[in-house]
Amino acid sequence: MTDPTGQGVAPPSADVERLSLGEIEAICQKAARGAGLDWGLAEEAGFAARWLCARGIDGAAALLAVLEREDVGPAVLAEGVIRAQGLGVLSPVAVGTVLSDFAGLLPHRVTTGPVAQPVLVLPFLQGRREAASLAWDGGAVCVGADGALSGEVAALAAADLLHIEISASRLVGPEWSGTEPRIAACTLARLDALALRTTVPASDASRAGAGSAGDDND
Amino acid sequence: MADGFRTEDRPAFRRPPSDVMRLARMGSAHPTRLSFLRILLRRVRDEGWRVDRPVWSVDDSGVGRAAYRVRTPERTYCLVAFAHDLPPDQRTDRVIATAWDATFALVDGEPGEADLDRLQANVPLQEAGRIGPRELCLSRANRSVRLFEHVVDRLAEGQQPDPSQIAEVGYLMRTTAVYGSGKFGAADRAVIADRPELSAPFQAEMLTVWLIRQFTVDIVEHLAAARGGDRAVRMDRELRRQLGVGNSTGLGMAPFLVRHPMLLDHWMQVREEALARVRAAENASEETVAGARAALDAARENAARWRSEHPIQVRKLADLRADLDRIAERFEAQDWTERYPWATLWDWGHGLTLEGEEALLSILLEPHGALIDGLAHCLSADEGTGFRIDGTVSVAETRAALERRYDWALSMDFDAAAAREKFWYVSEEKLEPRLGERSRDAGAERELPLGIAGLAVAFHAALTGAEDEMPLAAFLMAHPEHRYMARRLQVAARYPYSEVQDNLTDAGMLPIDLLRCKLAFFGASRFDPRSDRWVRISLFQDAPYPLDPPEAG
Repeated sequence: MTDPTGQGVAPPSADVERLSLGEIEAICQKAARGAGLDWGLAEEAGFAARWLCARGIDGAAALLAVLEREDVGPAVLAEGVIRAQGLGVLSPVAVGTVLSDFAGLLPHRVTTGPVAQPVLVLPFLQGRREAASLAWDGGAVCVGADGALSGEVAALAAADLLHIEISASRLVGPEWSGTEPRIAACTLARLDALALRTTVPASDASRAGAGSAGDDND
Repeated sequence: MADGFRTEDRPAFRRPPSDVMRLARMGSAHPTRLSFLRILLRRVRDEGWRVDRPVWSVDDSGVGRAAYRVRTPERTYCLVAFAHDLPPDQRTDRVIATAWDATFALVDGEPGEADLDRLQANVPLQEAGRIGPRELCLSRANRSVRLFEHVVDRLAEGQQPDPSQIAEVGYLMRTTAVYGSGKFGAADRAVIADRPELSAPFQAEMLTVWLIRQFTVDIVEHLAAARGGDRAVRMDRELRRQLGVGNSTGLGMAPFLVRHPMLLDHWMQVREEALARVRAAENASEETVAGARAALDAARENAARWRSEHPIQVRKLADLRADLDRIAERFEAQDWTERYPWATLWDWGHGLTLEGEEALLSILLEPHGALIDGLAHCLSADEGTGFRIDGTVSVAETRAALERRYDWALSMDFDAAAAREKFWYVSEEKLEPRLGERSRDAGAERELPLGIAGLAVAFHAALTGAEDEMPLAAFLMAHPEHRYMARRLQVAARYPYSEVQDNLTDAGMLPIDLLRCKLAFFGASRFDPRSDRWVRISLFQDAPYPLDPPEAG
């Protein structure tokens, strides 16, 4: 019997579940891969979801919302602007990896959008020498060099689609502190459904081949 | 730095990755004094950890619960054990099992009654249950049908078990999984990574297994007392010492070394640095020579008692025993007063088989604790530091780095079907890694990225078609399918022992080689393959027991 809950995801009866950060990263990475991301990007997706959850933001739900969109297109970069190819919206994982990979090669300010679940861009702003900020029309969040968050974090976490500007400026705002989120059972179930697309149904041969050649009850 | 120690020669005394990182050699690895369970046992001894058993609530049929409490200088840990009455037809070591003879959780601190009840509702379910951030490990074990009943019977009758049967099996129970690091809701690795007593790899898991070893003896003595009453006796201390904890391991463990390149590098570098330090020692003291002789004797004794019926291991055991005889002869002929005697001995060992050479390595390290034990601090890795890709390097630089670090892969012929025959995947049924045959099995489109050699070849071909000056970041925007390999390359560029330098999708690849390497780092002995992807081992054989008074020295 297929039992995706068997590997440490919420029992179906519970509304919310506390997952370890390792579990969140693993399920998000698999779900991203199941949704069609290449393995390297799926790793970034798992990393980003975990990073947010460690700071009290439900990165798993944010990632799921991105993975379930059908209008996410590949990113292109030109003259300090990251935009989607065609009419689509941008994946925050794609935007984040571009920001992280190019780092020093990018201009002081980079604008991009519309980005789905833009809160998922934040994890990619840590690791620079200086603090970086993510601003939008109506608010901003700063990521310190140590990964501490300040500014309108809750508003960003609630945003579905934004045009954003990334710069090296340091914002002063209230320091964000959140407790590790509980992940909703429905979020997990849908992530699980995507993750199952990375797995292969068992056959008698694969079952038999995985174990001991002889009796193991001795 | 110790006298007679040629620091400048050490790099030359390290074996190169092209020698060390081959599957055949990894599959001949032996435990050393830097293996993880040895690190734990040294700390237990040096810091005077105290262990007691505050809870033992088991009925005459062997059902109930127990707790073992470990007091370290800074903190307390408890193993909570649940003993079950398992019908024999439900007993299997496979991960597909749903019931076990005993189940365990290692708790961070001391559990209260409410914790015990919570654990009782979850731990026996294993993968289908949940543990929490106060738990560090989840584990289960099955009885050895051959030995367990025999020992209970004998002890109940007031007799000791048959020593030959003890030697034949070597354990009362086998663990079939020891989960840690955040699995099933447990505390994340980051929670314990900075604690000195758990910072070396797998220390919580090793502590769990060591305490399980005590439980396996306690439960047979309990059952014998229940059955035999006044006639029952406890097990002879010497016989008891020969019992380890069995462990049954399949493919689930195999991908670990590939998925954790920085850790693999550190484990290998530590071992190779240890060997280099010993080779660079100018003189051999009487104590180290005596220690090496004792280690050789122990290795011969171990090889004599090591049982396997698997043709591969039968052959390797014959090699090992013959090589150990040759090493013994060479020890007699060795002039221990010459300069660099260990280097001489090591160089002589190049004529041995892989089994013999790796056994010699372990023997040479054994008496040199003062020189190498400090390396235990270098076994852990902050893998986050290897995650970010530097996209500012050019395509040309990336290609050159790939050609330097992955020359072993780029020379492979992936047009040959045999080079791609195997594929790693995750089974939908148990979400466990398995290995398929491309020419026979469905599911290859869902292959896991563990065939690193093939990925390196594909990455190289794509880089060759791109502009030299293009930043890697721009290349990866256009080719996200190579992002995974680009990250590995940047790790490998800094950590030369991070990759297994063989083709993990080759038709002839043996997963047991990966398993043995990892298990040897754990400190496992008596490696006994049951197929090319399934192995039994023993842990803590001949080690002290948690509840025994500490031994001197």
